[in-house]
Amino acid sequence: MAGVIENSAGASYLVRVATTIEPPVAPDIIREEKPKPKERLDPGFLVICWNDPVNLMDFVTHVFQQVFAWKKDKAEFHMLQVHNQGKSVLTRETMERAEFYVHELQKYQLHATMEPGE
Amino acid sequence: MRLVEAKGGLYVFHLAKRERALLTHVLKLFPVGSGPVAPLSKSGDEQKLAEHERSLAEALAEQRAEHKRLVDAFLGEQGRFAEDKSGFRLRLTTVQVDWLLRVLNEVRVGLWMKLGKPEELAPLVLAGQLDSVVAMEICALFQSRLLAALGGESN
Repeated sequence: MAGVIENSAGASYLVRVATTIEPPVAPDIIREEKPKPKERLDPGFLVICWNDPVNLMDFVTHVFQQVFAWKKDKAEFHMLQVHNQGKSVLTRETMERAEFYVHELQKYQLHATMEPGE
Repeated sequence: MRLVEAKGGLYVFHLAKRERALLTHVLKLFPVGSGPVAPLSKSGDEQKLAEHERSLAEALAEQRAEHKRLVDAFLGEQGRFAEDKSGFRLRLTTVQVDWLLRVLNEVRVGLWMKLGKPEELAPLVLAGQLDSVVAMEICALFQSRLLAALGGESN
C-alpha cells in the first residue's frame, strides 16, 4: 500500500510542476545570418606571370623566391607552370597589393600583369 | 667565372682576365631599355589603369637610374676586382649577387626587346645582329654562374 500512496503523490506533483513550468510565451527564434554568397565578395586581382623566351628558368625561380619569400619547391612549381602552360597565377590580392607585386616582378624584367579576378 | 667560396652570405668568385673584360663590357651596356617589359594589365579598364601604368613606368625609371649609379660605382670601385695570379677575385654579398642578377637580366631583356622580342636568337646572328646576341649570351653565362652559386649555398 505504501507504494500506491507514494506513486499517487508523485503523479500529482509531476502534474503540478508540469503546469507551472510551461512557458507562457514561445521563445523568439534567432536566425543566424547566412554568410554572404561568394559573388558578392570582392574578387580582387590576379597576379599572373606569363611565359617569354628570354628569362632563364632558374632566374624566374629566384625572382619568385625573392618577391614572395617562397620556398624553392613552390617557386619552381610556379616557374614550371609558366614554362609549360604559358602562364601561372601567382596570387590573388587587393588592387594595391597586386600592383605592388607586379611592380616588383617587372623590376626583375619578368612579364607579369594584374588581371581582374573572376 | 667560378665560385671559390660561399659562406655566411658572402660569395667569392674567381674570374679570368678575359671574363672580367666581358663582365665589364655587358655592364657598360646598361641601361638598354627604357619602358616596362609589359603593360600593368592585359584586360583591365585602360582609362582606370592609365595612372597606374604611369606609376609603373616611373618606378622602373627610378630603379634604372639607381642601378646605373650603382653600376658606375661597381666598375669604378678600387679593389672590387682583386687581382691574383691568374685573374681576379670578386667578393659579393647575397644582396649584391641579387643586384648583379637584376642588372644582367635587364641588359639581356633590354637587348631582346630591341631585337623585336624574337622567339629564336639563331636567325638574328645571320641577320647581322651578332653583337647583341653575343652580349645576351654573355649575360646569360654570368647569370647562370651567379644562380648556381646561390642554389649551392641554399642546398
